[in-house]
Amino acid sequence: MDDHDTVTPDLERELQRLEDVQAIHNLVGRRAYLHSAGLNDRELLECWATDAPGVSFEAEDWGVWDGWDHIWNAYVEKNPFPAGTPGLLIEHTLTTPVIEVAGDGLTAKGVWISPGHETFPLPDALPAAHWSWGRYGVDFLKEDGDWRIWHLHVYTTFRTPYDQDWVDSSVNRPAHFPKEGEVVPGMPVVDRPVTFNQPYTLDAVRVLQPPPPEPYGTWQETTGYTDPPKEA
Amino acid sequence: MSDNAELTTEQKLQKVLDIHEVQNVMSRHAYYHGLGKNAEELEAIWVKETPEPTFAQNQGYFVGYESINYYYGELCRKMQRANLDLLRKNYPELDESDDNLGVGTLIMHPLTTSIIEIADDGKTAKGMWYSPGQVTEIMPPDHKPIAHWIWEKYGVDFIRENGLWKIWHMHVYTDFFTPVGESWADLTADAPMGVGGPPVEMPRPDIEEETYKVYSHTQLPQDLPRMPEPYRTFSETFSY
Amino acid sequence: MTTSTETPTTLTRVQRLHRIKAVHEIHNLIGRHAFFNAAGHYDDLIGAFARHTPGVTVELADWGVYKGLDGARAALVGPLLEMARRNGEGMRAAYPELDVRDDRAGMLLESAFTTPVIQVAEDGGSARGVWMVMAAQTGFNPDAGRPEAGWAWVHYAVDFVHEEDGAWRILRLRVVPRFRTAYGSSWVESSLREQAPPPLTTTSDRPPTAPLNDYSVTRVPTYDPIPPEPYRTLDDLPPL
Repeated sequence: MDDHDTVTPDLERELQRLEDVQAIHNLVGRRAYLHSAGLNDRELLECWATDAPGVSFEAEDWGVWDGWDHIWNAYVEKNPFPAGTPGLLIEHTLTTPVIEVAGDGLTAKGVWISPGHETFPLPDALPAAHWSWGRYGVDFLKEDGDWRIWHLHVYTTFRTPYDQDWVDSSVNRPAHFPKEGEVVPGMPVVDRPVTFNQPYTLDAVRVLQPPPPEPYGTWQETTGYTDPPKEA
Repeated sequence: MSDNAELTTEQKLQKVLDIHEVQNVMSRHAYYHGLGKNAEELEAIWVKETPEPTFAQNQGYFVGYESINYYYGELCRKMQRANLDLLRKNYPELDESDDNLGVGTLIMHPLTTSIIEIADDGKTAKGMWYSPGQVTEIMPPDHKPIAHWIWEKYGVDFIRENGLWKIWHMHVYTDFFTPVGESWADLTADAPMGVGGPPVEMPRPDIEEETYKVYSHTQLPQDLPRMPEPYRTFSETFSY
Repeated sequence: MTTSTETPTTLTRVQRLHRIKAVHEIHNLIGRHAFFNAAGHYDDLIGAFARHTPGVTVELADWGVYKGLDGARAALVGPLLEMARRNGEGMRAAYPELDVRDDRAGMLLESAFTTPVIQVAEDGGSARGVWMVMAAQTGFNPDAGRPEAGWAWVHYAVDFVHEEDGAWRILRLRVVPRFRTAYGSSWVESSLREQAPPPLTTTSDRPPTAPLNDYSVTRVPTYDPIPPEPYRTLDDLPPL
């Protein structure tokens, strides 16, 4: 057997990293479909790290929930649109991936652009459809040999009612949206303020957020997507 | 249930390669279908020998080569001819020629949000995708092109035939099909999809079954299609 | 049309690993391209192009073929800068209260890359990929007196080379528009209206590869770009 067919430790390491990339694709896909089905409880249990310290979830202009219990409370217990909500349809696709697995194979980072739509019921009115585009910045870690979400940050690009373009809705905020920076009534307060969010506005100059990950060796060499971004 | 740890390095290497090749096959479906080249697509990337291929949509299953070739292949051509005739009512300068089949039509079903699993035995695969698409087709009553947004999900089984990955079972789950400028939230449960209807008579599915429901105010979020899970061999998993 | 997505069985384990790694790095390269494009990181955009391999070309729509790294900058960055200049001019005039300093204020160029078909050459030295790209765009429209939100869907066709320093980089890039429309407007209607002049400030080195084939009521969409088939080496690739 020549050198090009020999199974070396380097080959196995490289292969493992590429398997890891594919596992991450599947994991974030799974997360998206569970979220769409309103199965946020299954999403947390099946896709998120359950034992690791420092689990965090940052949602758009709301801020950051830190720790499994706080995330569960916000995202499952107080989910304003749980599974079984008639007229609910939420689909956040995952496209344009940039994924890096750490050299030590223990963590990974990925970003995605997410064209999506959201239709949700309104009080005393029929459900309203919206286009909802955003981005994801996600850190992952391996827990018991499986990849899990560690920090997940959802960034708003725009959310706009179907019959209003995002330029107009950035100026004339729809009445049924929560006040900017406020969670939906009934949801728990966040643990930390927004680290970064840049929805469309007339004066917004688009920046490189979340930054696509660069190759890295160990977690100590990088920062998380729910940490305040480094100054440019 | 798959146990990746039991696989050899060779098998693992092949699996990761296969994931890429399955994505390529699925993407080719999108490019063929987008141009109305359904017959060419069937020839190039669908099974030819494996029993019981299926093509399914919300309203049921077309089963077997003859049925799929007709519904997905021949009917596409018939619709293109019928659409050309309709469009020529408004644009008589268009020749009634095969070169003009597909005129005024634009179909794009992008593929995103993949979950792909290759069986441990390397013989079959399963994939799921979101497809945020658009369909622009000639529609009655005005016989002009109407642009629509169409959001769907795909659940697809693949199988190796003569060493190549082929589509075996394709199931399309449509969430909404709505003219651009109109909201799918205005749809009721019994509203027909899109504007008008197809210009040719459509056969009924071989197995009529409501496999999925389009959006309506009363529709609950649907946990479908089933997500692929790691598996060892096809007999241990479900079929789309 | 043939389609064979099988990796040649003559490839060794190392070569097959190189192939999978190439696909992953190409996904990352294209992903970064989209993020850099949206953020106005022009130097990073050009930094992704081949540095040690002759034959760099960039072609957008029917604006012609631009050659070399200078051509890539003229073709890619030039129009972005011109779009930004026009935008900034309009924004400052229409919204003096915003005190716009950066020309890109209120602009949006968000491009979602989907539906990849990627072939790595048998010799591992190059690759070709095609993507469907759904974009959300915003720029100042002087006729409207405000920024105009809209959708633009295109295809990307890209050739990549594996350079001597071990990095994959873009050798040739071509963007094929499918439609462009203002928000809430059907591209059928938009196609019937006069289009704004392209944001070009330079002349290409060669004429366009193909006539524009974006959506039109009286046109048949062309099979362009063609998803790549397996191939042996860079010189075997047909024109992009």
